[in-house]
Amino acid sequence: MFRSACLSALLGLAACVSTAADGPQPLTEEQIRGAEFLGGVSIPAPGELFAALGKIGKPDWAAFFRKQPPTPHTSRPLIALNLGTRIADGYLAAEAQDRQQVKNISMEIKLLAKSLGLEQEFTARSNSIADFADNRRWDALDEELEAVQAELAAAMTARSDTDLVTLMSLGCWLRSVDVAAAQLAAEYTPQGAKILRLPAVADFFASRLDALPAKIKTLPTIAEIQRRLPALGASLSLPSGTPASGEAVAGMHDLAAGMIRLINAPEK
Amino acid sequence: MIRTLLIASFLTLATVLDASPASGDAAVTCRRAALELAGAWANDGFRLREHVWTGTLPAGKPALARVNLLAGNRYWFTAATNAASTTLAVEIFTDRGMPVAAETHRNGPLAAAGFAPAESGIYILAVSESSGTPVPFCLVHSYK
Repeated sequence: MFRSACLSALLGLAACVSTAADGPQPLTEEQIRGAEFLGGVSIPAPGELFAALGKIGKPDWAAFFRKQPPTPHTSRPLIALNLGTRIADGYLAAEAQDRQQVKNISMEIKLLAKSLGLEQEFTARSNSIADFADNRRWDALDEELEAVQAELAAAMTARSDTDLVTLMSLGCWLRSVDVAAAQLAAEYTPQGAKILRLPAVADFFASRLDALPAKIKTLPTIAEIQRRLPALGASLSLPSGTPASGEAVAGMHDLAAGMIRLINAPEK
Repeated sequence: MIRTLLIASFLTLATVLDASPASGDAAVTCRRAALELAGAWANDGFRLREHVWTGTLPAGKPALARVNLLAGNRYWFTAATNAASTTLAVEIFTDRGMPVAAETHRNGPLAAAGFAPAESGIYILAVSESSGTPVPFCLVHSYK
């Protein structure tokens, strides 16, 4: 039985492995232009960004923990933005391998989800997040956090709240860039700066913000983020092979951190 | 070596089993098959992303998507279709459309491509099939 299984495996391998030598033809201009940008698939998860940075040093991820904003928001769009930033904080806590911080963030996510009427969707996930943290299954925790985001997004969509999905994703992405840029600014290397190149993501979110209903787009926080996004997008889109300078990384961090402060600021 | 054997085992299994669903949702079947194969990378420390790319491959043309990949990480893109008689392929290109040197696996309705970008940025994924007829597909991806 074992020999037969091994034989099958080897035959399968011979049938399936190919190399780049007999590889594909280049794409045409039309094909390149027609390639879709898929949102969730095309944008790196915070854990993906932190994992790349973790390979070029030993970041002190705990240095980037932050406290819950003192004043809770009542505006649903702002709660969704905040929720996204907290989900990114969950990845950060997982990267720092800090059990208590993971649980604290999980509680904050639960409260924000409750404010949006989505507490039920998060309850089961909240328990597994605590279990993964207790068992130090940090990789599984990353996957669970992304599952949380997907489940909350599905629940928002089911309630015709697709605008909130955009804002939650934007908050998550902005906070991940904020943390990554803060880390790079603290321990700048050209190699690290090469990692933080994310062309097209800011454009994607800018077009999504543009498509929001006027009543959301005109909220001062959203309008200001929309105004600042192109500058962040430009700083993340330097030509390939040209890492951002230390000064440029600091500027990138200022931009992202400024937007996170806006999201956390008390409502006017 | 273990990983290669695991992959080969999964792909061999896929050849033996008829991947066509008797009935039901094609997208679910494709996703399940893609996730089963992607499990091989998970055993090697790859984290699976939650978001999936599903759709129907246009006849005789690849489905194309742009993804942001990060230097320093390694990626596996794993695709499956429920059309057992076709051969699926996953290929990776630069943002200028040039093919990159990727480790590829193909066997009938399952295919995967592994890649470690030297530069962060936009890359283009292409999923194609051999039969020339539209077939449903699902692509999942993992990183470490």
